[in-house]
Amino acid sequence: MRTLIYIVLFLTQSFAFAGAEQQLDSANKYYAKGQFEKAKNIYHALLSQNLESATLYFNLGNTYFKGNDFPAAILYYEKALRLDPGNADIQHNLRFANNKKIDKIEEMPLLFYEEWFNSISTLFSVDGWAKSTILFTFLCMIGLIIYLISKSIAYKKLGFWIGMVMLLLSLVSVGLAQHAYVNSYAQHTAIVFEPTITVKSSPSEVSANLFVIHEGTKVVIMDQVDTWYRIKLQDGNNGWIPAESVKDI
Amino acid sequence: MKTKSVVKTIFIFIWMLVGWQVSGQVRFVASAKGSVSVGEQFRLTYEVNAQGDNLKVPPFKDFSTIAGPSQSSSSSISIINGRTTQSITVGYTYVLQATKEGKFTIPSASIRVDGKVYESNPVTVMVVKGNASNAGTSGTGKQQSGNQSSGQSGGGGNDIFIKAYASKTNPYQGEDIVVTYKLYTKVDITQYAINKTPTNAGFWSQSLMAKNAQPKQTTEIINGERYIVAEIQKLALTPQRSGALKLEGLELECVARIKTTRRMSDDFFDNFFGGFETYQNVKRTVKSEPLTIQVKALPQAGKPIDFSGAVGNYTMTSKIDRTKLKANEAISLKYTISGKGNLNLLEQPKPVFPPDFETYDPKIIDNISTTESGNAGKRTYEFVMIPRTAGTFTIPAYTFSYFNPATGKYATITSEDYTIDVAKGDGSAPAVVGGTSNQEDIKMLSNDIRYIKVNDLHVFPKQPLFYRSDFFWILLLLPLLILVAVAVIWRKELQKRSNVALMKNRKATRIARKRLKTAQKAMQENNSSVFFEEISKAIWGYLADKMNIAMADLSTDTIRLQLTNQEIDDILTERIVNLLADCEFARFAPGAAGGTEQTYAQAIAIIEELENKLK
Repeated sequence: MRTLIYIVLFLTQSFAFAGAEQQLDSANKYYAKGQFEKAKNIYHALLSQNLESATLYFNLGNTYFKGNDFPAAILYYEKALRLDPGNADIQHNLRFANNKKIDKIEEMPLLFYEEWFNSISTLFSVDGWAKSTILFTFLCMIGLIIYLISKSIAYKKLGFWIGMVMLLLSLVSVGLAQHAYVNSYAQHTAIVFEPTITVKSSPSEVSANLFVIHEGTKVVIMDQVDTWYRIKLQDGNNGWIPAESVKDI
Repeated sequence: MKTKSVVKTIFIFIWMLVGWQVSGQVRFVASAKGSVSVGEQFRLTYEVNAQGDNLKVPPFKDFSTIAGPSQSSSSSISIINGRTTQSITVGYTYVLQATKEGKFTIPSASIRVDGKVYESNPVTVMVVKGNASNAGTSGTGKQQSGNQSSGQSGGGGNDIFIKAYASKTNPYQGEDIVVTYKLYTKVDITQYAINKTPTNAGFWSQSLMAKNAQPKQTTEIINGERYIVAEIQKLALTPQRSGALKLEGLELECVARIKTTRRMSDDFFDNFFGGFETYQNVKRTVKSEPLTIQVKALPQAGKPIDFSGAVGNYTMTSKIDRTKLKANEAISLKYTISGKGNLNLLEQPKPVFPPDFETYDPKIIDNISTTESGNAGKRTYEFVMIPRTAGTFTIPAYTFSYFNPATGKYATITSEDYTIDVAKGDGSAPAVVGGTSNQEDIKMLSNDIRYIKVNDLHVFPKQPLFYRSDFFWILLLLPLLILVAVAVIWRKELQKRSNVALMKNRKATRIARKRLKTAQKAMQENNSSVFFEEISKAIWGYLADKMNIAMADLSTDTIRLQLTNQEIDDILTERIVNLLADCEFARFAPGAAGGTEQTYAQAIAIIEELENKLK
């Protein structure tokens, strides 16, 4: 009986997915015809069904870009990038959209090994690295068991080396997972949607004005008090803005 | 005898008449100013209408004689109806100076005319205090400016002096006062020039007199003396700091026509032509006394934070030309402050404009008039601003604080705030804020965004991150747990195995003996097959258990090997091997039954030896 239920569930899920895929396809076709509004609506419909994928976000970002809504485009490109960090298309379009924003913020430059490390860590998504970590850990376990149990020296040696190599790989893998995690998820990041917003020195309308930022700028949210966020820019400046002026990535 | 006196009187009267007709009426009159002040010079004149001589004047003991007598004479002839009449007037003038206060009488003088002596009338002169304190009590005197007359200063001299009047001697800092300088003169002044205007340290001054206007003239009577009063300078002053501020005196140089007294000149002609009284143009310098104005500092209590020095009574209005516009268009916002007070000295307002608004210095339009009642009018500040980005902005209300000296309190007026809606400008992409692309950007601008992905249509439900989720940690720990479990189990297994071996070892002897017993029984029953089987089992079993050899591995070679390992000597080993061989032989090769007893004894001996040697 239980198995039957599982099968039914599985099948319905598949159908649901199949329906979603069809929707995505039709949205893409609207985009091809230049009917961006219709495409946008279908993309959003998929999102509201709690579905997502890098492609979905990417395509939606493009749709906003075509509609000249740059902050929204940036937002969805960032979301896409989270799921697929190494994707060159997403990176390109994000760079492109960032050029359209008003504030030119100097990004702190990276050292060469940081760049290199970055390029490796973006090969997979965070979860991709997490899964490979688990895999390597299991392989390590197997190796060590072989080492323990075998009688022959040869097998013991083999088991030992397999165990050590797999252990090393799993450590590297978790390191990359952590790095990718820190880059994409650890920070609560958001995009400014308000055309112009004044950053204040404390969470209140009547506090001193620090500086002004415009829509499309990416901020890191450090803290929250009532309806105010404490934000930090990529060049280090920080201050308080109303929470409704940004949208989370 | 009444008739006698009557006749006498008539006689005297007729004689007097005759006398008169004969000699004319001789009149000898003394005259002088009725009221003078101490130190003042005045003329005492004796006039007689006939030529006389031997003038005898009384000593002027209460006065000092400055000059005199100087003589003047005038004559006139008139012919009326054929009758010729000649009349002459001879005057003798003394210039006297009053030295002390009081009421004094100068007694009559006498003169002889035609042998007859005539006497003048006595003259009474009233001498009063000097000028300096004279006008002090004239608080009721009409002052042209202000209500209280408190500030004043006397001049030097008694016939020309300048007095300064301040409309208020105790104003607040920033409150206008009007200071009027009045010139008092008894004599005619032909021209005057202000030498030194008073220094007004600490004041901001504006002249209220038109450049070439004729000063206002009036007359005043001070202590019986008639003065001409002219307003020569009028200033509107605004004190810029508190404390006792001194207004220096105003110095004026003038040319006055003064009746001079000349000594009798020897020159006949001078006497004749110049006349006795002459006027001379004398240059005189007159200075007013300094005036101290006690300026009150503005109270600290209740002073608004944004107070910037405005004193007076004001209202403020604001006007904005539009509130809905596109980016890069201009807005004009005007703040007009009107009222009375130090408008000229108002500080430029600094309203807070929204960021992203380009603002410029305001244009100031003044409509202020300075009059005797101070500065009044209005001043307009016009601000122009240009919003650069779209959005909704608020220009907050601007507050203007001032101090009202009339009420002695601060007041604040607030304008309204304005909400500005700025729509996106035409010509979009805001070029202003850091929009200059560098080389790299220019290259990219020629491209476009990459096309959507159409191949991978797979979507999956949104899920939280697997990494660092609980599931992840469980899966990560799992191999470790499994490893530990395996290790533990394996160890136990090994232990168990070694235990088994141990057990077997211990039991070996017992089992062997049991088997030998069984063999013995079989021997007594003459059951040779069972006997040899048991002996065989006993020995094999014993060796296997003792030396932990698996049953499957039992063979002669294994035994030899293990025995050698255990350092059993070769002889014993051979004996064992032989015995075992015998048993096998006896068991499987029929008819070759050897001596069971021999075999039995051998078996026991071997076991015992092995007991000793094997551990």
